[in-house]
Amino acid sequence: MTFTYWYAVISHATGAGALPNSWGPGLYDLPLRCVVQGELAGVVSDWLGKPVSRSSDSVDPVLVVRHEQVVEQIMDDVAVLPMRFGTILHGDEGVQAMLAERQATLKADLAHVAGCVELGVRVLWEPPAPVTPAPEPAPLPTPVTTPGAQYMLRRAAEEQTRRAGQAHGQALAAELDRTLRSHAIDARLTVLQTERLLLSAAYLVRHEQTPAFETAVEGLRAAYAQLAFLCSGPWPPYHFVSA
Amino acid sequence: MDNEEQSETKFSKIMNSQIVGEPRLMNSRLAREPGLVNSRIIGDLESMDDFAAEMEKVENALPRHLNADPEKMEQGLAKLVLTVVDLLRRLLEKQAIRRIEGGSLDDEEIERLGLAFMRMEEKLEELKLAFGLENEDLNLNLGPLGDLW
Repeated sequence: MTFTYWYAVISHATGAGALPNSWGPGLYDLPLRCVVQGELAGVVSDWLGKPVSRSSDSVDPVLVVRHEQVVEQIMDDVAVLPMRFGTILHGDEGVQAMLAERQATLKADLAHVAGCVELGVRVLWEPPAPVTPAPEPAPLPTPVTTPGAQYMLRRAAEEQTRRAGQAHGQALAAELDRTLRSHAIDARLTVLQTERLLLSAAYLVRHEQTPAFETAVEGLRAAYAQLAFLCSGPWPPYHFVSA
Repeated sequence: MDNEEQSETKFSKIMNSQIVGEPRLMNSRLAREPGLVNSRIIGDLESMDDFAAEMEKVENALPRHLNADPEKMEQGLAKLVLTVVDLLRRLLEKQAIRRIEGGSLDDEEIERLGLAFMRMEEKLEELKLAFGLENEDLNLNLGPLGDLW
């Protein structure tokens, strides 16, 4: 049984013929090659058969870096759909089968990301403190004197506070996203993934728009001094490859 | 761990999902690659500690593998079971609150539900104590849906 390590998908037209030396070598210094299927090509190399871990505890950073470097070198020359680190299939036939099965989707993705890079934005906030006294809950049918009803009344007040905080966070994240999205052609957002992580987003930005996007981030930093921003990139468009 | 390594670890926690499309793939050595990570960040760098802490929460929200240590396995199983029980308790409680807010429960029903939830919460606290678990241990990160609670 042979295994094939898969780095990226490119158009067959751009992947035909010998691959540029600048793209390789791949993991373990093995040469890169193209596996063609229809109008697409997978950039791959042999895989030595060792298991690969995606856990940060045990992954070999040298392999991660090499994977990233290969994808970025390809991205410098042609439109690319990056594969996740550790994508290993049963031989080139496995790559061809997947390219055949998902040809239409991957072609659409490739067209979508052409000329673009991914920029990551993360925003922290301090969740609003519970209002004191707690917001008035919906009135209970009669005055509360019993322990069960008192418990429910307290829970209802807490729930209302939580909902209000979430609504505030969602609205704030939407405001930030509106500004950033005006410089991007697509985005993947996660709001309030943790209590403090207000926004975690990947934006697909045309390469030439990158400075404008970063300026927009700086503008938001100035306008929302109570928030903390981190913007990273450019990266290959990992978040814009259909699952 | 020296300061340089600590700084690199923070970078790694923050950047991992950008580099590999998912969390967990980086460790501190990756940040040593010239230009790969450090040169691509702008923003509130003085808040790196806070960003790293939040990313760690996201990364650690779910166990990556079953701990086969017999002494830890019992606690792991208790954590799993209590998380599910707590999830159900919270869902039922939210449903009850909605019904109270909608005015569809009378005094007697509210009292009965309140007592039931109170006792369930007390029992959960006892079990958490018995298995050495904290509130945070019973939280789940549901990806795009955020935390369980």
